[in-house]
Amino acid sequence: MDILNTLFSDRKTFIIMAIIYIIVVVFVLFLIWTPKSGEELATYEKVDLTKKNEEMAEYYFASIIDMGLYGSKSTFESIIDKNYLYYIGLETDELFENFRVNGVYPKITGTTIKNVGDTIVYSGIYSAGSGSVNVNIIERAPYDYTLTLDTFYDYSSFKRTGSNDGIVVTLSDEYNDFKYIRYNVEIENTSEQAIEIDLSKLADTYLTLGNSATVKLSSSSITSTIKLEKDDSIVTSLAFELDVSNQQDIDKLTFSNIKIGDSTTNVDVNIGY
Amino acid sequence: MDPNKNKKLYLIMGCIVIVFLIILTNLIRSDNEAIIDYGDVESVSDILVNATLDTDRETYYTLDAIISKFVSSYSVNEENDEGYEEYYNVLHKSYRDELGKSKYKEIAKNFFDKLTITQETGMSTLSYVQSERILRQIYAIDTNTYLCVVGAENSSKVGYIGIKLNNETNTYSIFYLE
Repeated sequence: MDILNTLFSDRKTFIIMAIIYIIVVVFVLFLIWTPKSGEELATYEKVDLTKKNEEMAEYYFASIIDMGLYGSKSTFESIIDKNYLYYIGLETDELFENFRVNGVYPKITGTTIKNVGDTIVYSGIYSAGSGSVNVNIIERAPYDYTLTLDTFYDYSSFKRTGSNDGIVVTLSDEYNDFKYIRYNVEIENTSEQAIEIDLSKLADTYLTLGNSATVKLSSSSITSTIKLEKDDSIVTSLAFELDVSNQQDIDKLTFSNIKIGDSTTNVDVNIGY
Repeated sequence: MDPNKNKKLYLIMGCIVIVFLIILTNLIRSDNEAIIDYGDVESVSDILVNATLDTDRETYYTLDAIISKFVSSYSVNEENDEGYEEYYNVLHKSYRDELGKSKYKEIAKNFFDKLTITQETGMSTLSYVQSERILRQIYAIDTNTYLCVVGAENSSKVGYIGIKLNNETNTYSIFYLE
C-alpha cells in the first residue's frame, strides 16, 4: 500500500507515466502481431479437400480427352491399370485402338468421385460419336493414378496369404510403378515360440519370378529386426526394384532365415498372377 | 512524499514492464529450437532415418501449394531475379543461422537447377523451371515436420525440401534444401 500511496500522491506524473506505458504496450503489441519481413510468404491456405478433388477430376478427365485425341500408345500403356489388363485378358494395342478417336472430339459426362479406402476413383462416361465406354481413374496418391475402362472394379485389390510353422504372412495391397513393386505385409506369429525376422538383411526377403530369377528386397518401412512373441503381429511395407515388364511374372515372395526358437524357417507367399 | 522516490519507482516499474514485453514478444514470435542437428547431417539420408512415408492427401496438397509457390519465385532466365531471395526470411531461424544468405542462394539455385527443364526448339534452347506437379513423396520426420522429395517430369534428378507446418497459425518454415 505504501507503493500505491506514493504513486498516487503525484497525480500529474502518474497520468503522464500511465500514458507512456500504454503507448509502449500498444507499440510492442503492434510489433508482435504485424508481419515481419517474409512472413507474408510463410503463410499457406487451408486445403478444401472436396474442392481439390473436383479440380483433380477436371485435370484427369482433360488428360483422358487429350489422350483420346493425341495420345501415343506408350502414354496409354503408362497409365492403363496392369491388373485390369490382366483381368480382362486384352493386350494394350487392342484397347488403345478402341480408345483412340478419329476426328471426333470426345467428351466425358456423368462424372462421379468416390472414396474406396485410401483410393479415390474418378468415373465418367467417355464418348466419341456413337461409341461410349466407362472410364475410371484410380488415384492412389495425387497424380499417381491408373486407368480402367468399363464398370469400376478395383482390380488391384488383392490378398495373398502364406504360412509355415505358425508364421502367417498376408499381403493385402499392391502398388506398382515402372521400376518398383510394393506390398503391404502383415506378419503374424501364431506359433508357440518367439520369432525374429531381420529386414535389414535384404537378401533374406526376395521375390522369385517365373524363370526362377530372384529379386531381393530394396527397402522396407521397418529396417530392423522384427521380434514377435506368440500372437503378436506387425504391418510393414516392402518394395522390390523390378521393371514393370517383369512384374506380371512374379511367382512368390519368400521370407527366409526366420528365427523360431533355436532353428530357422522360411515362409513363401504365392503371388502368381 | 519524495518526488525523487516517485520517479525512481516509475522508472523501475517501466523497465520491468518493457523487459516483460520483450520476453513475451520473443516467446510468441520465435521458434528457435533447431528441427534437425545440422552438424550431424551429411546428406538427406541422415534425415530420412526413422522417417515414415506420409500419404495423407491434405498434407500433400498443402505442401504442394507451398513448394509450387516457392519454386515459382525463381526464374532461370532472369539474371537479377531476386524473388527467391525473399524466401531467405522463410527459412527456419536455426537454418538461417546455419547457412547465412549467400550460402542459402547457392543451395537454393542448386535446388532449382534440379527442376529445370531444357528443350531444344529448332535453333534455340528453351529453359524453364517446372513448378507444378513436382512433389513426388512426403516423409514425416516429426509432428507437422516433413521432408519432401521433388522432381521434374521425366527427370531422374530429385531435390529435397524440409518444411515445418504450424497448423494453428497456417504458417510454415523451410528447414532443409538439397
